[in-house]
Amino acid sequence: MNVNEVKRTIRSGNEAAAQAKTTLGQVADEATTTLDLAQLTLQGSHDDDVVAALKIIKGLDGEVDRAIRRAEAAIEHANAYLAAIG
Amino acid sequence: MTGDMSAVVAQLLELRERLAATAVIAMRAKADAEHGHDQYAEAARGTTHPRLQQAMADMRIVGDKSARIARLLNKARDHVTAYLNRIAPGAVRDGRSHAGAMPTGEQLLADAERRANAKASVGSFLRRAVKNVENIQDSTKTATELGETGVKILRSPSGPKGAQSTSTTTPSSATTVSRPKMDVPEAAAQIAVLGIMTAVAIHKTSQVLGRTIARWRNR
Amino acid sequence: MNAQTELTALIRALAKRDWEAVDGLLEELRKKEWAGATQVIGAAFVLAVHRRFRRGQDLRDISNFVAETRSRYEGGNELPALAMEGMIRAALGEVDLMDEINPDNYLPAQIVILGTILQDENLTDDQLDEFVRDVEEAAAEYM
Repeated sequence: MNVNEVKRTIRSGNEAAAQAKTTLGQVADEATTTLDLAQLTLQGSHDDDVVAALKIIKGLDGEVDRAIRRAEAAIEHANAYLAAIG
Repeated sequence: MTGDMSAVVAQLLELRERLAATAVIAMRAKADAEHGHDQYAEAARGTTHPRLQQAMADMRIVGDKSARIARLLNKARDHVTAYLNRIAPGAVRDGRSHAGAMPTGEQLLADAERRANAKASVGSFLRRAVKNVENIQDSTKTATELGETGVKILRSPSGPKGAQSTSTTTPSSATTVSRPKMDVPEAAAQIAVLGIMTAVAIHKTSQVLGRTIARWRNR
Repeated sequence: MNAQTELTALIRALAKRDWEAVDGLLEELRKKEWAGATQVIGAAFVLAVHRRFRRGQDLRDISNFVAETRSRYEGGNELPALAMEGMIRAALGEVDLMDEINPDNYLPAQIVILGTILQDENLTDDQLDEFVRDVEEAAAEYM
């Protein structure tokens, strides 16, 4: 691949990474909605399964956040490479 | 079931749906991440520049995290299902026990992952295909000829008749290949004629063929 | 002019082994010189391969499938095994492998493989509709 093709391919990779971020953002939004619904419906329950489900759903936000930041890091690194190859 | 109870059940059923739907979205994110990784990997051919390697590693992690998120969502859904089955037995209909009913969470996930992966792969595949087809040198074949060849091949299954006719043929380049003992001699003869596989590969393939032919015969 | 409609109809007919329909479509396609085949058949091929295999699939599974497929048809050995294996792997992500395959083999190999996969899957009409919709959507950007 010549330099221009390399750049095009990397930009394409950046687009995919950005798309992953967007999609993960959707996951975060949906996770918030499910948490609201779960808490509304299940508040006060000490059932083991309920406790487990709520714990998982509460933790999703953090998981998604970490994934999004990782995608951002990928784009940064790719951009740094783009700058390096002129 | 009291009014309150049925409302709770309805809400929990909806919660299950949402969790499943969100898992599907997470799998799309995984596919996006894998696609991004593939692009960086393609660009990285012939170079070990640390930045690009880091970008690739990062995208692999994004993919893994997305898959983990999907699994967690599915697990949460399983917990809700278990709870529902206790407080309102029969309220949850599992795809397995009813024909045409809702697929299970795992099936939904697997399906969504597959479709997302597939769609993400099409782009780079087609770009390369179009480019290579356009750049063909010294080809005299038209798309029509090539397409019709494909269809023609697909239309000519080699049934038992086809296999029998090759069993009387002496394999032309079988000198490097020994004929292992098999249950499907006709198919083995056909493959030996091709002369392209080692004895081990033929034996393995014949096992697969044996099953395949048995399946066909039982149709 | 492109033959997208006829091509997706052909895919449907091949999946259902509707040879009468196939004959009619081949006539139409001949008139349109299979315009757009690289994209439409290519997209269908990628989607079909993903129904049968996963990313990072064991290479032995792929070569077993190819050997099985080639011996399934009388003309099967017209298609080079390595080309077929390479195309499947390319559809699963190793796109560079396509550069090593003679482009004249793309169309016939793709048709045989995707036809085989779809026939084996015995898709319902709904599933086939969904598949064709996915193909049209995927191919559209590259026509």
